[in-house]
Amino acid sequence: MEKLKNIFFAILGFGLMLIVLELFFTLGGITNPIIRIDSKYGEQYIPDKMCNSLFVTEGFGLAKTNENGWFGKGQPKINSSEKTIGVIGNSFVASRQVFSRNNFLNISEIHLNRDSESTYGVYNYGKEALPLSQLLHVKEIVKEEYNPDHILILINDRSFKAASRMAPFYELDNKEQFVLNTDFKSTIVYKVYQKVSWLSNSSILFLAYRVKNFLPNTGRIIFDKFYPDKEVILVNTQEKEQLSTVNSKILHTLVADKDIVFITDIRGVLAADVKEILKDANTIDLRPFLEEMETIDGVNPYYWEIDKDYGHWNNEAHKKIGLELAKKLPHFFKR
Amino acid sequence: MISLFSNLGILAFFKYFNFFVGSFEEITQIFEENLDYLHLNIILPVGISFYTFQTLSYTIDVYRGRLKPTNNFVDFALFVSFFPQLVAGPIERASSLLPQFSTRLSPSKKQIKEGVFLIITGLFRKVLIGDTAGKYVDQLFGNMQLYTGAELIAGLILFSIQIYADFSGYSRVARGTAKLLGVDLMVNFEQPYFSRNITEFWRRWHISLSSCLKDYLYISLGGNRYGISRTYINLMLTMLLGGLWHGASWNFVIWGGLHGMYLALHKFFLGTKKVSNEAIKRVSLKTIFQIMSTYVLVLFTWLFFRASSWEATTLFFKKIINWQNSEYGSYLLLVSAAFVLAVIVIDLLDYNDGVLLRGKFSKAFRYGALTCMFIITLAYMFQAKSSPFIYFAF
Repeated sequence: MEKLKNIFFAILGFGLMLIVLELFFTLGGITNPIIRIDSKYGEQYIPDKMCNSLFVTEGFGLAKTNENGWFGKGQPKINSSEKTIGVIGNSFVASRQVFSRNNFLNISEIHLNRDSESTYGVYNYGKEALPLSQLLHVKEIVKEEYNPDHILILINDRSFKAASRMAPFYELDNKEQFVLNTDFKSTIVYKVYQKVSWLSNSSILFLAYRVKNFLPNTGRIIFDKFYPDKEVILVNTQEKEQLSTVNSKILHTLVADKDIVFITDIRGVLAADVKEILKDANTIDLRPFLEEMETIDGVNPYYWEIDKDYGHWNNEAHKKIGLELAKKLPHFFKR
Repeated sequence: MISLFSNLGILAFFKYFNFFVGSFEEITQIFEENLDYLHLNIILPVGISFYTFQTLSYTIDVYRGRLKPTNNFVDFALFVSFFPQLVAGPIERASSLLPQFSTRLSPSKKQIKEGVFLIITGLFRKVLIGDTAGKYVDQLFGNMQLYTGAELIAGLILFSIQIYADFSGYSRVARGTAKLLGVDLMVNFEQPYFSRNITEFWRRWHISLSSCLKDYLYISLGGNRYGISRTYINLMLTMLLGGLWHGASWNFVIWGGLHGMYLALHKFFLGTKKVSNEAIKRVSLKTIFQIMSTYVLVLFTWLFFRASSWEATTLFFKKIINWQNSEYGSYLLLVSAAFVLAVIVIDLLDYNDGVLLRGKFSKAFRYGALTCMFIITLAYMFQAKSSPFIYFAF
């Protein structure tokens, strides 16, 4: 009896501490779940939430979602005279690393409005880990639901990775026609999520769930002093020696839409292939401009001084890109 | 004298050579002289400030006749280099450690239990409170021009939490590790943010340093034995040098100077009254006001401690004067409130030797809670980038 009583109190102590830590993790913004799994969109940001994670290793991981589950400001009113610009892309567009007031979307909006008689609104439709196969689907959703006056699509080296998020993506069937793959709905994770989605708001469970990603590196994590420093590989060219058929076809499909302006930042071996496909499209190539930043200004646009890490565009790069877009975009909009 | 000069000489060379040359250079630049060539590429040995103080304390205690010199070199070497507290304290006295080392070290059951408790709670403070608060602080103070006044104030509050959780966490882990080896180290922090005045703060904050400063510097300078004005001068000098002990930067000197000024003013207003050492028994509005005022005074000094330069410090003030709020500002202030609350809770449980908890919860309940703390701390450590202890830099 005494033993049972002790077990009960131990579990009670454990449980109460868990609740206390849950509160601390949530209020302290240490880490909180930011994704929900929707049957139509797949993984999507939770609407109206200040998303925070201290695990982001470049700058802040802090950004607020709007009522539709995208970062940044909400949609304009229906009868607004504002000319809307929707920017679609991966984490470089979502840009959680910098405060929204400092990202290239906001900076370009400020400068577009400063130098033009029209009022522009730049809207963020960025989603982390968004390959081309999912980007095409996101573009369709954005067009259908928000119908912006102009669409900008960011393509960089990460756009050619295989789809990793649980979301619909395009693939080719036997006749080389696009089909939307929604297999994520038949996965166990999705089915479990449907039943216990209320648990997905728990910061502690989210922390525990993330541990699985690190298990393969257990040895390195525990005995880190005995491992040499990892070499920084900025672009893994091995994986992308050739543009896949599906990616090539997606690019051609996007190019056919003359309303789209492409923003490119490709450092890998695919640069030439992509350039060839985009040669007749409205394109702003950021590469020469970002290279200049490094050679002339001495600022690596991907280096985070405080975190001593390479990754997404840093604050300086966002500022320069914002200004560059504000300078070049009106030229495309006039066409 | 040889011991004093060699100890202080090594410290002066490694830690302060470039600082004094740099300061001298700035003065000479006024006369258009360039002394840049005098800078040396010195690598600061980890924990030099701590073990220099420790060896100094041995020499002074022997000189004052408070301690018999030891004949055992191995014990002395262990006293200087005892690994749990080597790099960031607590700064132990020879009179406390040498007698322990002269006996056969074998931890008792009680010491093992206390040791494990201290390590788990210390790790929790360091990793889940200190490191996490530090992530915000590093971003905010590392690129101050990007942030608003409200965001930077949140950063300063978070720094006050980070430095406390980081350092007290380390001290706990050090004490816990030492206990597992059968050695008892001194308590270094006693809930300093519950202090009702600045004098009490210094009795509760980094106790091993403040007691060393008092015994070996303040008293050596004459303490309060030569009249009231000399007492104030001695206080100021002690705290200025205490600031410089932390790092070779004028910001640390200002930090120490501010604390010296606070202490002198407090002494002035106290007159002949003594500051009570008694713990708070009943919480009243007056007590809360006193605690909050002391915290605000201390918080202000942390700005000079954290800002990397004088330019950064002035930029902070400019941002406060040109006040701007933002949704991030409100959010970060809420985040800092959550961290403050977390520290209040864990300090309340510890306050006055844990009197609040005594007899309230069963052993099984406490083990359950402690296990949970440990598992979650490990889960976080597994995923986060490691952050060095702040005081390792000193």
